[in-house]
Amino acid sequence: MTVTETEAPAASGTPAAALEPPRPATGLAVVLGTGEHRTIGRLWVFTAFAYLLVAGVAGALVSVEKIDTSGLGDVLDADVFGQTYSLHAIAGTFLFLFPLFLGIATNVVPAQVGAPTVAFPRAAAAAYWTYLAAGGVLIASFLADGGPFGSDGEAVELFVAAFIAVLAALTLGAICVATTAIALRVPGMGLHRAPLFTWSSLVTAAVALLTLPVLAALMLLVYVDHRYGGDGGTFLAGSDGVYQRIAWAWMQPSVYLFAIPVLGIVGDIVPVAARTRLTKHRLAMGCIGAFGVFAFGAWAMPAISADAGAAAEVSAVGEVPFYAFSFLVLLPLLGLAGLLADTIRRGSVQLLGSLLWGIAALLMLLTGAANGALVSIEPLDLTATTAQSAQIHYVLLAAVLGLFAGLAHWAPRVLGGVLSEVPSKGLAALGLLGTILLCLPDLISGFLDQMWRLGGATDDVDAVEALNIASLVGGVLVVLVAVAFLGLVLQAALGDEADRDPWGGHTLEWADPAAPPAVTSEAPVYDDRHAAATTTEAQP
Amino acid sequence: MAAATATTPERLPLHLDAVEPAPLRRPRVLLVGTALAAAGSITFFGALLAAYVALRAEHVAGGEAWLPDGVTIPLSPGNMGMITLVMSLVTVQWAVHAGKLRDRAHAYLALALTVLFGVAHVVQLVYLFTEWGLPLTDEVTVQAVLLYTVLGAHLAMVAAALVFIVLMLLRSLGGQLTGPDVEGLSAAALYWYVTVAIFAVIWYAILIVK
Repeated sequence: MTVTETEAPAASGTPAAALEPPRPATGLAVVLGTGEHRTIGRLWVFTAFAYLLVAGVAGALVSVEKIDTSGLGDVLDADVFGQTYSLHAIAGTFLFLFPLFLGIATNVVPAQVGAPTVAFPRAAAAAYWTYLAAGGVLIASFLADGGPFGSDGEAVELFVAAFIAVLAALTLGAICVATTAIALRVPGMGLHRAPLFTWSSLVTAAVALLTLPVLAALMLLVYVDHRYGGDGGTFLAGSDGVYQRIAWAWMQPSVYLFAIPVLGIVGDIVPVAARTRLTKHRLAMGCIGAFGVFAFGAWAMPAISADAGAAAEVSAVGEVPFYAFSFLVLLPLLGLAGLLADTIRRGSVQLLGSLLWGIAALLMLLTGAANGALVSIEPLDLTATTAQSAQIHYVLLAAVLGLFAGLAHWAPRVLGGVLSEVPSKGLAALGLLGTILLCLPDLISGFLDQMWRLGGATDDVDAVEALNIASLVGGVLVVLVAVAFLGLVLQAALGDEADRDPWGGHTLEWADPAAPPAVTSEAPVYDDRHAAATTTEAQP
Repeated sequence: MAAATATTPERLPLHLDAVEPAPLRRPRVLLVGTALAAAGSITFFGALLAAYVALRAEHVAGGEAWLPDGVTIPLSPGNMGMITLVMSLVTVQWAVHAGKLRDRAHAYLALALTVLFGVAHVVQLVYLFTEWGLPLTDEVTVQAVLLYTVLGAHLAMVAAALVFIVLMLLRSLGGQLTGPDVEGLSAAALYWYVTVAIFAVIWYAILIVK
């Protein structure tokens, strides 16, 4: 049987212009209309840094105000103190930390799993632009006397609406990252063989999906109550209640949500710096997964109650699950730290800046978790003291240090250039010092009954004030380190293009796209360059 | 004009060693993304319902009736809304089935009926709002805040799910979503199932138990 296929003739009379491909976008249109995941990732990163400046300035004002323990009014009036404090916390977590993670993940996760782009690139772009606009409105609402503790009712409602939009944007961004990790892995790469950062991004997104919608639901209730129930609301007890409905998100155990990516970042950096493999890949994934389980904390929020007194108390403190979560969270951290220490011991370490940032992050996270275990012990009576704020700062600053480690490691992908190594190492050391200086005095003053928001009834005023000054110095140092790191980031972004793989990376994002490695072994998907020296397994 | 000629033998020899392995099937991206969005929606409504239950329990523990004097929640609109959504479950699954069989006419009909049921549900709930005598403009109570927020948020979810279904209907009209990989239709159907399941919980916890 013979089949003859004849190509259809081209339609005659078609205008030549209609057959030309569309002209590529130029100038600002490249950024505004992009669905390209690397560009979207960069936009998340740089916008997050812009919002960090807001959070840093607000935090510095709070620290200065805290020095004098006799009361408020040195720099900030009583009614402004609460607003500044909440701006510092909200901008630092929801406008800086989580978006910075999304920026790195949007850029790196698709490359790590061998996908050409992030899942739903237009949704990822929509998430970014929503975050940018809503974040700006959120900050503007504080300037209009809104936000938690605000006295202008309409500005408070504007804040709540903007915050819901920010949460929706972050949730959408997390869905894009999670879908990429689940559904766009290269054939042959099972989830158990995915790089640790991809796995930690998936765990982060999963916990975020269980946390951020809860916060959004509470904010919706707050909005309707405040809007239609008057400034006092029917069960909110005024704009103070707005703060109580949000603050659980950065308290133990929910605060660990922001630190989950750190484990994946450090887990990917250490084997590269040590020039060897992480032998217990699945165990490391288990540690990250377990940490994610203990980072789910919507159940531990203050009671939802029409009674203002009951609504202000975190009823979970002192309960068995709260103790369990607070102590058990240390186990996966110690497990992963042990695996990474073993990797360093077996390898030949090159002291990269990213490694120093990562180690600093892991140390601070361990310290923060230990601090959290202390705070959970009810007889010590550390709840609402500066010991609790020290724990929050330990964990959140560990997340900052870890994300900076990720930026230093993946700078060739995320920024296009490499960060200068010597300044990066110096800043990592200063960042560690600043974090300790910021948090440790607060932990000590917490034992001296210094309350974290409104001064306190401490018996040892001189000691507490000296500790507060030390904490302020630490805070200023952290802000300076962040600003200097931003300078390095800009230098890398605007400088010469880096080599594709300056560190000898192990995972797919460093591979030459023209020759993707075959994925046939049982080991995690690694480039084969270091395999022969470290394993006896036959490599394809 | 270019021409190509190919010859097909009467019987193909079996060279199994030369057969290419079947391509690996990845999880379907739109379906996975929709499942994650649905999980987020479940979390969202779980939090709203938890707030409702907590505040209701606190109120009732004080010895008061939950609903204020003069406020009744009529059963008929809520029940009809539930029944309408249950019927839409059949039609949305019918659309997916027809899509798999490349039966476009039935797929269009089933999707159109699903949209019709969805709109009817919205109308029934809006009617309920006019009947229960719960003001949201003055003398606002905690009951009004909770009921309007929970049911209003679900109406927004129904609207979003309907937009999703209409979008998939339009793509079906463009010939994209038929055949074995009816991913878009399946994704829209999944979100619709979750929407209906959430309303079933709201219907029982709020409109029946009150």
